[in-house]
Amino acid sequence: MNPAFHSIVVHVLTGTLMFGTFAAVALFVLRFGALARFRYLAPAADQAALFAIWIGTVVSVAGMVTGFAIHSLESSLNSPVIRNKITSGILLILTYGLFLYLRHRIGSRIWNNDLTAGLATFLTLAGLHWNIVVNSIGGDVAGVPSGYESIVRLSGVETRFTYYLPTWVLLAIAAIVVAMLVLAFTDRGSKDAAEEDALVGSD
Amino acid sequence: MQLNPRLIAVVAGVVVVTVLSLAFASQGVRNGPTGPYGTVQPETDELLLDLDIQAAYDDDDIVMRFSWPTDAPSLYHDYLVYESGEWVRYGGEADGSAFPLNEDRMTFLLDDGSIDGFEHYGGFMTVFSFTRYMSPEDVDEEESEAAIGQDDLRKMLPDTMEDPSDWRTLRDEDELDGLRQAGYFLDLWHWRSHRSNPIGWSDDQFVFDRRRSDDGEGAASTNFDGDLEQPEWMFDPEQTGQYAMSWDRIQSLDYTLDDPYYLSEDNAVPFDPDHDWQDGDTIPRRFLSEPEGSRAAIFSQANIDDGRWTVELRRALDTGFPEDDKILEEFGRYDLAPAVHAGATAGRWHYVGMPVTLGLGRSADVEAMRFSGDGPDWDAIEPTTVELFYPGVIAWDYLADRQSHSGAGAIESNASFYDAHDEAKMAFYALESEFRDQIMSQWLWTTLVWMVFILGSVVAFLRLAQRYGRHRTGAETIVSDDALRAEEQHA
Repeated sequence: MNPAFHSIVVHVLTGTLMFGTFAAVALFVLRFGALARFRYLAPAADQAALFAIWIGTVVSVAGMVTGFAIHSLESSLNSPVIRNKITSGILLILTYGLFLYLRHRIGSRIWNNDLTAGLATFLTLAGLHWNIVVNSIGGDVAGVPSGYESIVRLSGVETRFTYYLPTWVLLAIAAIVVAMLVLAFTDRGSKDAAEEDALVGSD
Repeated sequence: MQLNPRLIAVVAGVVVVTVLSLAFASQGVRNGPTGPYGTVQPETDELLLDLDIQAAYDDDDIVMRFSWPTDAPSLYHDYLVYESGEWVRYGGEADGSAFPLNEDRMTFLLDDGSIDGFEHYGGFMTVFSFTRYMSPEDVDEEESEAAIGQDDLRKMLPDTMEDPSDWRTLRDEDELDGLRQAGYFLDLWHWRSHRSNPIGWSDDQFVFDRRRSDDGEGAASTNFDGDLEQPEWMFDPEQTGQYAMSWDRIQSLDYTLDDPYYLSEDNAVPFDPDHDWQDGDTIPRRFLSEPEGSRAAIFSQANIDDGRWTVELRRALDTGFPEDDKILEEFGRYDLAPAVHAGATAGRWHYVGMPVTLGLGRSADVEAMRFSGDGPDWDAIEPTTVELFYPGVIAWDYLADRQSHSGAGAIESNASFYDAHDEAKMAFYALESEFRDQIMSQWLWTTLVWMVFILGSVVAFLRLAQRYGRHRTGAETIVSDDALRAEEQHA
């Protein structure tokens, strides 16, 4: 496939996801006093975020498909930067996908709880981060790197090396995930919390 | 909002995983001293090396000057060490093993436009997945000897084979002769700090159906009598003040260019087995004598100053051997791909550079200036710096295969290397090329674990957040009750 098709699709998803992310961030900051007078915009921002991130996430899947169609799968997997692009693309779709799932599962109430609103906003920002990484690597692959890699490099991650972790780190992460889930699901909660459950709704 | 300890613990878990990932991402299976080839890989801050090049010419000769940094210059190659009554060979291993005895070398491939693509891809065109040391299992020596008369497969050019991905398809002798006469070969200037430089010469070779030496005799021969199991020559004590070198001093790289670290016609006498040899006495395994024929075309002069090698090579523009050397002319422009063996390495464990152009009296990356008199005034010639990089096991048959390399199409259309790469990026690719299978597996696991981490942490956080997060009500409500009711009604 002509790489230009992939570029077109990527531009669409990048624009819509950025728009959706900004709407989500706006929803989060509306809880602060100085911006309270704009809360009448919240329902519109909520719908805008939902709409744009739906479009962007679906188009992201199309972006991945068109990306894989440019070269053979084997040659793509042989390239360190394309491997990184695949990882970043998967995490992009996962984080925005989680946002959509939570927004539909909890409804608009997700914005009325400070922590769930924070989580939803964080997911969109994480997705935006992966989006920037994917696009930056795309520029690198095309021979026109954006320079974002040099910023990522400051965190210790070399984007020209494949993202991978030693086995013991993977095991440690798995153990931490299990511990987090155990902590969450063995929590009995307080009386106040139970009252909050009644207000917010619990899944 | 309550600061619930479990909520804090979940957030702390996310932070710990993020820090761990940042600390170890891009290190993974490369952590550790050796790779799957059982060899030492350079550190990530040792993947690049800057090489300065200057050139000048007169009516007869071209003179080239190369300079690069070195913190541990090696003048040594292979030696015979006296141990308990026997002479044991050490050094000169070319298999990447981490033994600090290999001479420093500076080489370059030179083409006059006869090799399509060389101007963009340089020495990568001469290395294949079956070239020695490019894979953990080398091609069987007996098999290659029986099939094409070569017991090891070194640098080759693609068109010397019917199918460049298969060494068994080497062309027959008549076709090879025709190709060589048509100029289809690369001149290889091969400067060696131990095996030729001490007596003022560089080795002269070329790459064709293999890496071949020019006609004639080379400077280095083997200083060992296999029947008597002893050296044939030793140091002349009257000239050098020693019968042998010190093994301890060699191991600590203590000899300098002014010391007798090599054995040649000028400083050697026949070996005396009756001398009172002591354990640790060391004699060079190479004996240097004046080279002959086409192989004696390049003169060298080198020194180490301020932590840099500076090597000057001089050769006739027209050596009179057009099937061994690229004949140079004033106003000609040529492609030159340099390489350096530094840090006591050999074989493919070196630094390589992408081709630069060399122009004699015309514009080029390296512009050779005309000089008169004995030699050029180097201070008047601006050096061109070429960034060399570690090439790993990236092979031409891999690069040119669309199934393996996403840039194969660009190679088919003879696109520039720099359209999609630069030296630093190539160095990282090259390092990973030695761990391709291991990295693939670890990368898949990492991606999977990160997905599980994101899912797990969101589920855990959400459960606690719904319980302990501050719920906005009344005037603080973000999305108003009216909107919520409308949404529920719609649902």
